Amino acid sequence: MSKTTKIYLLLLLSAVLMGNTIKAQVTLEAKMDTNIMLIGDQTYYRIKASFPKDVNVEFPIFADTIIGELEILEHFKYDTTYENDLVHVEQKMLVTSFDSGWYELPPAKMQIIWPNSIEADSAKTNPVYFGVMTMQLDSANPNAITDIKAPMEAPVIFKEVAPFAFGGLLALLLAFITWYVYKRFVKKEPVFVKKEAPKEPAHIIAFRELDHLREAKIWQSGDTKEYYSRLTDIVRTYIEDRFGVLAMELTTGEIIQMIKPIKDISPDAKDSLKGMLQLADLVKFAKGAAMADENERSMRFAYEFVERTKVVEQESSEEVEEDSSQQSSAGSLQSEEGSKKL
Amino acid sequence: MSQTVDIKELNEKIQRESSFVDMINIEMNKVIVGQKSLVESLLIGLLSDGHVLLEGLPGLAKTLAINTLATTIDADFSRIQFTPDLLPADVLGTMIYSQKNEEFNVKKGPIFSNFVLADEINRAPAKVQSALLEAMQEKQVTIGDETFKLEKPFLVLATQNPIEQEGTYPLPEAQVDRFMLKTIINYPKKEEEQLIVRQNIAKEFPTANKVLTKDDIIKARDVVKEVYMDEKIEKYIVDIVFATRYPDNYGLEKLKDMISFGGSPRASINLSKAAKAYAFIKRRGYVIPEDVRAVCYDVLRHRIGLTYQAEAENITSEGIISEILNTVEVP
Repeated sequence: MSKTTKIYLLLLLSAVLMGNTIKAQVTLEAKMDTNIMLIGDQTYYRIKASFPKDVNVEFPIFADTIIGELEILEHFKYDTTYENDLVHVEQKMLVTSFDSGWYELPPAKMQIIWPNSIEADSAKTNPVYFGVMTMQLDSANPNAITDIKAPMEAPVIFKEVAPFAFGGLLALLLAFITWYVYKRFVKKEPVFVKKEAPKEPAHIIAFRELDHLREAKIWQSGDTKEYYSRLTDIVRTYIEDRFGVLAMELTTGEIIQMIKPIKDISPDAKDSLKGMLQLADLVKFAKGAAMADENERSMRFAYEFVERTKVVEQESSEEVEEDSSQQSSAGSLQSEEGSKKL
Repeated sequence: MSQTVDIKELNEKIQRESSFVDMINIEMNKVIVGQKSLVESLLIGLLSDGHVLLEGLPGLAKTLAINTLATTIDADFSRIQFTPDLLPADVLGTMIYSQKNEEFNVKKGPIFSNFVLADEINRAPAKVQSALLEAMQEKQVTIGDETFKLEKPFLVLATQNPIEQEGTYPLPEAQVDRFMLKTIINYPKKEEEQLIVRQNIAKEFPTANKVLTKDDIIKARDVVKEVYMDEKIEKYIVDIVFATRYPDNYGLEKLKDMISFGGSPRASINLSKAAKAYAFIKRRGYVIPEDVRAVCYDVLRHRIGLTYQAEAENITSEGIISEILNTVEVP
């Protein structure tokens, strides 16, 4: 044997041995997560292949069954991982069966394309055996067979109700905006009207304000102008609240004119009111310096005017009896106060 | 009641100095029947150095009233009938070339009088109105390169009628603002009209006598300036004018869309001046809110711009002033 022939033989042997080494690195496997399952139960059927990186492996394609008795519910994506020079690919399917019995899943056929080769080799996985069991009935127990249970009530979760909740809120918001725009810009009415608390009777407010003014001792400290401004404001506010005459927006002359037809005010009171307002005008607008007795007289008149023209509310007999003791004491105080004032 | 000395003295002074008001009233009433507010407006304008625009239908004695007022005062009076072909030189005067002296001489126009009656002012084109109103504001006239001061007192009393808008040139807002007062003259009452008829068919039409001199007017104007106005009244005036500008700040939101522009500071100034003059006419040395309210309509009616919406809803400036007066608190 010549030297050249030896070399050729050595190379041929090396190639054969190398090809066998690559083939030995390809492993195929099929398995189910469980080999025994209840009828209608679900499990995973997995086909795994491990092969060198330069080898291509084509997995079988299943439609909706693997065999007639094993239905595929869901196909999952191929799961590929790399380990050194090997590639591990797993095809996973969710399967179920509605026929009881023992079955054999035939080996899955796969195509392997070797490096630097055009033609493909076929390869197979191992067969898989599995059993589908029915429910075991206890024949001794008469209640073993029971009626179909009603669908189980699953708890309501936020994700389920969120669209309805947000939709409802949105509808309410839109309805509010529409109502607001209509009220505010079309009808031009105030949108939110604060409900006012029942107003105190005009004379109560007037008496309280007069008391405050008297206690403030404003004219005694030399500010006669401020004293008359506040005094006339109290009287004018009282006239406004009591008789509905907008006295705060009227001049003295106009107020006198407006109260002329009011019968609840006596002619004397009208004259006195006129005198007081005119005196106040002099102090307020003409640097008038009223005498101390004029200041006192104006205050007394204001009390008297409110007292004489106030609305006397009719109380129920029970309330009158209940309050009689309190009123009598208050009345005596008032009369004392009144006699001092007037 | 005692008053501080200055007001007491001022009251007495005004009692003395304002006696001529009665005399003018008597003379005016000889010729003019009724129209009390018209006579008062003319007096306010006279006493507070403010020009007056009278608006009313034809035949309501606008021109006669002004003529009569001028008659009662010993002062120069001229009347200019405004027409579409009037030129500024016809009002102000012009330069005329003298062949004899071989130079230009100034020929003064009718504006060089104490009282100028601009009759039917809206019939003249804008350039004539502008020339007159400029003279009213500056109280001086420039002819050629020479400026002439107008003699005091200088008062323009203009008339216009609200109908017959064809061929008229309505005064722009900026120019109408130069008038201190715009007085609207209404029809006389039944009894007054009867008197007017009787007066006009009588054998002789009454005439007014001269009761006042120019110096009396100038002196009276100085006294009017002395009339005391308290800061409360000043604030009241400012509140009223501000309510025309920002009605929503005074609870008058409904007027916001009705007013395109409110009164200027000139409105506040003129309201104060007119209120002082009114107090003087009423023989008072101090201003009270009644005085402000009495002159408010005449001072503000031509200074409030109405929107199209207001015009569409027949809202007048008088209506807006009434709303404001009924809302702004009296001090």
